[in-house]
Amino acid sequence: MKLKDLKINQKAIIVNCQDKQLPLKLMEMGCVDGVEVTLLNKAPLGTPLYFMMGDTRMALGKEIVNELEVVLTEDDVKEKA
Amino acid sequence: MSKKKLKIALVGNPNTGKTSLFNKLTGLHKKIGNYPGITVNRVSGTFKLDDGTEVELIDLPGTYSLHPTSKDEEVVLKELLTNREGIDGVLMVADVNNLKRNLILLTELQDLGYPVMLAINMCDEMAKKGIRIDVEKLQELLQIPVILVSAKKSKGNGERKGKGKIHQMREMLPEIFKFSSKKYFEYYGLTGTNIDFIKPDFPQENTYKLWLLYTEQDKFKSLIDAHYKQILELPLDHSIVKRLLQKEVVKRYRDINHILKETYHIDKRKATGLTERIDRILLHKIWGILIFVLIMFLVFQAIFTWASIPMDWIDNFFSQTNIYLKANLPDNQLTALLTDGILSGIAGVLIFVPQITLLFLFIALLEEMGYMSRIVFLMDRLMQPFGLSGKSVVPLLSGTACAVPAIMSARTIENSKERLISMLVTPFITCSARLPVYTIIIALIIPKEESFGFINLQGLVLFGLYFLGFASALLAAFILSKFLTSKYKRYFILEMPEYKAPILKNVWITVWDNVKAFMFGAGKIIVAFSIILWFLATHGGPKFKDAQKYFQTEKSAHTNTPSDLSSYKLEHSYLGQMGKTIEPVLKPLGYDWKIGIAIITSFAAREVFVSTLSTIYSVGANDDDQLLRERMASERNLVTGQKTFTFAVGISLLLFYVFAMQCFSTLATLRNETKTWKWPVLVFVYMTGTAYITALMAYQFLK
Repeated sequence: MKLKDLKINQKAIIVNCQDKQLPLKLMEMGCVDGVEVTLLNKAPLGTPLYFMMGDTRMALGKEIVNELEVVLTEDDVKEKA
Repeated sequence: MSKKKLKIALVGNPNTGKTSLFNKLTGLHKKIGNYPGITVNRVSGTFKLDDGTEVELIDLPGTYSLHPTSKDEEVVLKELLTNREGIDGVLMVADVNNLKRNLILLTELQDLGYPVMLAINMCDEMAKKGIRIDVEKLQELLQIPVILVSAKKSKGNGERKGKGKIHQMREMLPEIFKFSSKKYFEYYGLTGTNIDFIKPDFPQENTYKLWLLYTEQDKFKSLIDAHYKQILELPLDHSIVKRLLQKEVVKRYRDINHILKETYHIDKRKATGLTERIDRILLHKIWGILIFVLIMFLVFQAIFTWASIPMDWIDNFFSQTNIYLKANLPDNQLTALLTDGILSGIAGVLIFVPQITLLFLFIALLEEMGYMSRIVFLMDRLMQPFGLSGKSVVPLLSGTACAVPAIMSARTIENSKERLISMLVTPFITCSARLPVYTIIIALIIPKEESFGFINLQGLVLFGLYFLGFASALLAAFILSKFLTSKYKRYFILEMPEYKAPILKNVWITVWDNVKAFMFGAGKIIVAFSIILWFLATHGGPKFKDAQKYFQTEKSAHTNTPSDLSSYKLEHSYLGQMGKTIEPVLKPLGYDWKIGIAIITSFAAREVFVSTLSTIYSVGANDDDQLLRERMASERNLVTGQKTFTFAVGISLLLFYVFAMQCFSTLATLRNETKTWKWPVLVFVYMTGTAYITALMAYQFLK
């Protein structure tokens, strides 16, 4: 599942931040593997998307949310089931 | 440290209150210069320690790490790596809410071998957020001096007596030299065979410095001196390096987690989520946009309407002073220079101050409160196809009032390429000084009638001109973004800071800094130019000097001599001669030399076009344009006997004023903001070039 597919308030965990396509800055800002991410908001034109990423609130553009791979956290999976 | 002068770099992530802390530490003793070759400001300030040591604090641009992603961040890497300035140590500012991420940069600074002190800012929020920090333990583990401060709360009596936190912080600075700096990177084993191979040749250099020189070499090849040449000769595989850099971040986080586990405790239940809740409204698809439009409307209203009140005061004050001085000083060249030259020039500078003040008041407030990042979030997708930032909305909108404050407002755009493009295209936006020109020409050539029963044709043309200005700004931005390439790929990663009540003192400092930068930067150029313009309009050849005599004889001999002396003098001044000289160039556009003079004088400000025509046609200054309009309508070409202001000439003039760079103050501001004449000259060439070509085509098709 990609980060862009997250629904608002859904929680997930980052798994591929070391992908070649992704900038180093992302990791420096706290987006590392295993960090919990929650989608807070979407911009009026679809992207950027606004997340709580660990302790940091950050907005990410299309080129990043299309690449970042996530898995839903267990709470979220349970709720769905 | 026996040295009597210390040079300390202030480093930190964006949104950590670094600048407010800088203001607190240095007071108002700040110097703004710029780094050679780039448009990034170098801000520094000084203060004295109790023992007399003078400290120069250099406020480096905010950055998340020493791996730059923009020109501004590059400054930090370059300054710290080459240390051409002789920096003795670093004061690192961190945000208490985001300590983990902030410490990435700290460990990098330590690895580079700099003595560092860590100031954890915004500690006033700790109790509220359930954060506890064991400062002693943190000092021990990081092996550097650590202090908790609050740029917001550290005022009051203690500060004046020299006992406050800020004072304590200043006095702690020399302690950085008591610690030997801790190293992290050396134990990561990431440098690979390349660096290890050359390491023996640089026994006194630390490994991390060599590593940065190697991995970031493409950013400053020219700066690496011969001493390090062999680093450049090593093979460099970008994808391998990237993997290693990513591993480095992971390892740094691991080290930091170990340190924070023992020293930093947060009670998650205390999190209020207030910022998230405010964002739910301010970033809402409908409400968010509505509030944004409302705020922008307020900004627009302020610089368009509110600013006009103090602008009228300034205008009145200077014209009264002028009248008074002329009445009381001897009637000679010196008085004329003082009143019409220098004083008018100063008035021409001060007239911009109300707009700059109000615009920056809004910008500083929005920035302090954290709303500017939200503007980027809301507007980025709209502006990004044109190579602009979401924040470019502010200069583009402010440009409808005046390009001068608008260009300055681009300062808030972090990315220097987007900032430059915003500044270069803002002058296309129809500013308020174009309105008087548009009004009089539209009234002259467009019939005052309703089309289709309800659309006012004159209004429609005016709307079209505004639209044309806006469209050409966006088009120019699009073209420029294709030419101004950047070595940095654009990724949209934006931290959304917490909403905060603004620190009013910071707001005032921002406003004052900008007003000062304009008055003493662009202001000087504007005064100089208006003196030159005054000289050219009030001096001339023999026919100007003895205008009285020539005027009388010519008046009786010819019928085409102007009806009063002042227009005769203008015609024979140097300026008039310039107008006549450029007539061949302007003829294909349908203009005669009289219009030529008006075009030259309107460099001072576009609306001067109207008053110059009044002088040339001897209608005198008049509050309504009725008289001038009638005079223009009846004006005929002496050679062909045809009307001067035909429909074709009118359209040609309108198009000329839509595009032409007819404003010296704008050029002076561009010069001041970019610190080079290169960009203002480019803007002049492409704007006036576009103006000439479109006016030429319009006239040739329509005549």
